[in-house]
Amino acid sequence: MSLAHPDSLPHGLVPPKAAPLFAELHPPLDDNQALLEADRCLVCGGPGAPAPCAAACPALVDVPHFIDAIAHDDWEGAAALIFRSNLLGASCARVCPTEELCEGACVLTRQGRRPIEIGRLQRYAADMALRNPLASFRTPAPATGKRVTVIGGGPAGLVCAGELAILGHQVRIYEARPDTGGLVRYAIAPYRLDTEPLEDEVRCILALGVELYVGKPVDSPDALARIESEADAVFLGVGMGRDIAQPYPGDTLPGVWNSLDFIEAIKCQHLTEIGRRVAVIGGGNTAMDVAREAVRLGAEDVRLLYRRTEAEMPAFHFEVEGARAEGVHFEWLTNPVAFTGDGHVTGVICQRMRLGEPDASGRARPVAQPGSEFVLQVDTVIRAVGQEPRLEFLQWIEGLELRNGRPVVDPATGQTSNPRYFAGGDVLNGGGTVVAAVRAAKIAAFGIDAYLRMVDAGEEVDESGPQAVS
Amino acid sequence: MKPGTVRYSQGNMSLLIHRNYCKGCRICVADCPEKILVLDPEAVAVVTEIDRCVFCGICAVRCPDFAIALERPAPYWASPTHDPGGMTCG
Repeated sequence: MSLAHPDSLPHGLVPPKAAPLFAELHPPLDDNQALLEADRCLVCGGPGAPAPCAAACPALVDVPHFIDAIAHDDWEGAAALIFRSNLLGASCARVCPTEELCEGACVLTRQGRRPIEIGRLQRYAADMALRNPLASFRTPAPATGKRVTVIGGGPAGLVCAGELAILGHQVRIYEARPDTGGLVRYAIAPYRLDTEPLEDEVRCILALGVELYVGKPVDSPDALARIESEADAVFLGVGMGRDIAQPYPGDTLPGVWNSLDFIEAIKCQHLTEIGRRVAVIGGGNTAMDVAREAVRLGAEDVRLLYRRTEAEMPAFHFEVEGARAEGVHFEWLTNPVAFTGDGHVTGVICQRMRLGEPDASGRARPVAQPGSEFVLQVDTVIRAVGQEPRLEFLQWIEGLELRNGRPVVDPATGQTSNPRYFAGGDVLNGGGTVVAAVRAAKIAAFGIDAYLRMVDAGEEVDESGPQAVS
Repeated sequence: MKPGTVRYSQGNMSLLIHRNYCKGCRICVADCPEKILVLDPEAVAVVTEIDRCVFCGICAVRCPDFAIALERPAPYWASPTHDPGGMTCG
């Protein structure tokens, strides 16, 4: 919403001159800006009625008190409060949809005033603290002798591992990619996350005693059995798989991208040549991200094709507004049928849709209108229609109940139908936010801790798994 | 009768309304984000549901007659986690 906030700097301070390409959407605050912004906070919150911002935070960060600490020039105290609730507090400060969460709940907004810039204040305190290489905000409890294996080194896996290590358990993480961070490292739009704080956050988590094995995919039932034999409990933080591959004629042409590959190419291979006309397929937040990246890469005509209308789009409203303000055009009720081109994509054959009866998701089902086909001239097409569940991997786990390709878990503990396995993050809610993964990972960490203590106490463990919940 | 001060408490925090200062201007009623302030039949501000109060203090700041006050423990700087370092005075 920074675009809807022309006055997004406190007290009329002049913003730094923005770099044209991939300038950060929410640049950092300097010391004076942070103090002035923190001073605006009313430090709400009664003993029985939490501050609205804190109540809106999925990671349960104590927002008013960390802001009060910044206002009293104690960024270390602020960072301690942030990392107490969220081990990825610096990353979340940058990528959280704060307009939907803390900042959207701020009491100032209810008076038509500008909310406190909680995300940027959190970033200020967390960055200041992580700059110190000896920063250590959490200390592990005495060792319990219990071993937990975390599969997946993304946000959910990192946070779950860190919280378990703090509870005194011996944790190791297996990550298939050459580095940790999952989609935070490989798929979050670069204009959101410029200088990655991830390295420092991972360093702090490893300093808690977590063992990390990167480049170690769990790629066979044997590998999984080995992991199971060496752990008392396993956390599945495996996220989702590749982009959904709906086969279309011509989708192997150069210039046709899947969203995750596209973002990774920008971030890791510094792709810049995308041509003048770009079509983005999909209506979620990832589609908005890639459309806005295409604008930043210099495309003049960026069109977003969505088969329903604006009202049904899963993307956050402020993201749609942000994309629109940056010049993205929307083609509602439009579905691609095929890609054309000779050696490189040059066109998308599209079909107009109309809305029919509601489907299983409760949204109106788009119905094709025969004879409405037209060709959109393009230089690049990016498909952002969601990710596949990791069906093959999940099926190796004995007794794991799946629904819609996702493990069924007890929402209070993260426990799956196989009592030794817990899960959290995108593997459960497919394409959620980083902070949602943090929350699920914390729930699972406490669930695993309770389970291990229960086993230790010789209590009967409910082998039937969680009651079905929807 | 408009005597003295009424105390509305939520745990260790309170909102005080000095009834004899209130002239019923409704500024607090309009500005309360939780909408828990109303005027009573004597046109004096009263709290309807103190359990929903978030102690933002907007009512106290906006009251032109100093009729509303908040009583809450110093939220941060008096807490044990805060080390003022070399910043103390005196």
